[in-house]
Amino acid sequence: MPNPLPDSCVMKSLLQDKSKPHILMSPPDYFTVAYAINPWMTQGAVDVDLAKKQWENLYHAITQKAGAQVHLMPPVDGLPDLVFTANAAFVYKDTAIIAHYKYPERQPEEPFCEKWFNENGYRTVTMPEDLFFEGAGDALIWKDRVFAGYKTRTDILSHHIITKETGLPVLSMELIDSRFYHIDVCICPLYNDYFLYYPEAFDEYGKRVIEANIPVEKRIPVTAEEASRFACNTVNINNTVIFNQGSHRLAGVLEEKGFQVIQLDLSEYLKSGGSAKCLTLRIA
Amino acid sequence: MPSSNFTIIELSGHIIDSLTLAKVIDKIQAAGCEYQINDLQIGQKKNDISTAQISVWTEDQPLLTTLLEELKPYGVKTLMDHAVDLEPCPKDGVVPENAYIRLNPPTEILYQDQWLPVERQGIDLVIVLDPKTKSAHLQKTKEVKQGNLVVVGDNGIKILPTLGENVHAQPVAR
Repeated sequence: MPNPLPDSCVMKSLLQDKSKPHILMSPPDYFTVAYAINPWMTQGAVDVDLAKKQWENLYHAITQKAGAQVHLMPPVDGLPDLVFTANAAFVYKDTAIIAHYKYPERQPEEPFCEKWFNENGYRTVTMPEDLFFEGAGDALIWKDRVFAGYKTRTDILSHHIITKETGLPVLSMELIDSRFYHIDVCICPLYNDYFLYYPEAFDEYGKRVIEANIPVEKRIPVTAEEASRFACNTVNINNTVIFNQGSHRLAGVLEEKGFQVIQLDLSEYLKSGGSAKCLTLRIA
Repeated sequence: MPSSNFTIIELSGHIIDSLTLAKVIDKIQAAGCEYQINDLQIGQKKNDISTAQISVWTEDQPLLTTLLEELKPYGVKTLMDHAVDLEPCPKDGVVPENAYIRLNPPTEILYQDQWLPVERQGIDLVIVLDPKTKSAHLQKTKEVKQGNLVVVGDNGIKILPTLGENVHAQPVAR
């Protein structure tokens, strides 16, 4: 298991260290499927030891093969989904907009996430009590704009706060399939402005928004089968992409475009409705 | 057109680029309601948000209620929850500072959950409400009496354009 917990000056060092991307993860010490808040969470018990091994493989791929630095948020007993750091916040420069979870099961995570960002030098923003927002799980930056999901977990009115706090324009995308309950399981902005996405997770309006914003040569649609393997839930660090195993067609497409593809077995996290990208958060 | 079947909604955000405005209008039409865009402020820069105010009406009150529930996840707010604001005249011939100056088109005001037609037509008049009779009329500024309740601000005011006898009047929000 990787060691060091972040020191109190991580942000300062992050800002100084522009030589590599920085990723936030949280060890799966207490990971399990303790409740069912999405359609994936009904597939049986998690093999805890296997889940730890899979997480370590992801950590290793990110640090050793993709060359990023990983920082760790301490796990908390009783908060099994804290391992999915993608949902903790939406981070842009020194601002972290902290998640306010829709389901009460995950709301106890919020103060731990806020504490981590506060202690590490970020300007933290919290949502009003009546607005749900699930961090980078529902807000992803492509070039100079944010693609943000709403309706399943995140409220569309929270998108105003993203614009207010970051100055970034937000394209609000309705999520229409409960299996793809966060936007980070149906789109993934990639290196060189490529855009991985599962079109059927969106209605006709959402598809038109994608077509109006993303040049056709940059769009990489995935199939229904690949989407169900969480192919869009990809960790992208420069030209390296890391996703759950089994999407060989997609791997070939990405390799042709110059990506180094790493496929990992993340089966235990799929039982919770998450995969590679859900286990990470880009923080600098 | 019964006033209770009318409402004004507002939505804001990147509603043009996200096609949220188009989606909301399509849902209004699909529900069989009538609508009119009263105001559309389009952001000038990429990170400016846009705001639209839309009047929505129908003959079928339950239909409107269902539609408004359906539109909530799209960030649609109902503006018609606000009754008209009233202030007493401080003395004879003097109206409150923020008095609503009545223009020519027919007008209604929302008072105690009821839309009241404003009697008389004219220009540059204020609206005076009589709470005892629950009626509203127009009055010249110099004719108001101390204590007269005058409509102030913009809340709870509905303007009905004059479109001719054979044309069904469409409400316009203010």
